[in-house]
Amino acid sequence: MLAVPELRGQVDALGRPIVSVVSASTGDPFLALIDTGFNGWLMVSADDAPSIGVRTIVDLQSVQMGDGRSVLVRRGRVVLDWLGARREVEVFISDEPSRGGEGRPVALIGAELLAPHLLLVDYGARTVEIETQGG
Amino acid sequence: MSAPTDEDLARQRVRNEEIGRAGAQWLERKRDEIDVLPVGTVVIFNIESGDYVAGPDYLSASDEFHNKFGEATPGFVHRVGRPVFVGGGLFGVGRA
Repeated sequence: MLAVPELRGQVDALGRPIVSVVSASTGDPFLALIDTGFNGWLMVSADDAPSIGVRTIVDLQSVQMGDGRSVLVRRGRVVLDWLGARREVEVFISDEPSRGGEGRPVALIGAELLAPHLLLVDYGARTVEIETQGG
Repeated sequence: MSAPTDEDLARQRVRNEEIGRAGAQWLERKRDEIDVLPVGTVVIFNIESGDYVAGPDYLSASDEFHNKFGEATPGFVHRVGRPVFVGGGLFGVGRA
């Protein structure tokens, strides 16, 4: 039986679902927080973008915050090793500083990158799984 | 590749505001022709001329836009009928 490509992670001490993702652009892994309330692909801060190989583009987009505010973010792209395939994905780049790295997540994974896969977060066992669903 | 300095980020923030204002104005001026495009279509405006390209996703629209107008030309991106929602926790994701 063929193995189904999947990505495993954990719920961290702060209760956040975290997975390790490999940037094909750098060859290195980075930690990402799964945020199903974010309906984009990947979000990083500008100061973390170079370290995971994001190519920043001069385009801007207005995005909506939970409190109704609109915020401008830059756009970019990065190539990931994602669920057994190499995939170029869209990136939203915040100009706000981040203290990511060294065991902390540097990116958010949104619903567009999760689709059409299966996301399982077991808060009891503190495990996270993303499995391919034909996409 | 090196990380941007605080000064770089401050300059970028000012420039972003200029691009955002210009882009929003073009979007309003062309609202009638943009809103009839299929939901999910990504539109990128040239903020100088108001010309735009449209594609099924950002990657393809961006390729077309920057081939047409140049790599250094900033675009204002709009997704038809599906605004990007980032909740409340996107900035400073590494902050514990």
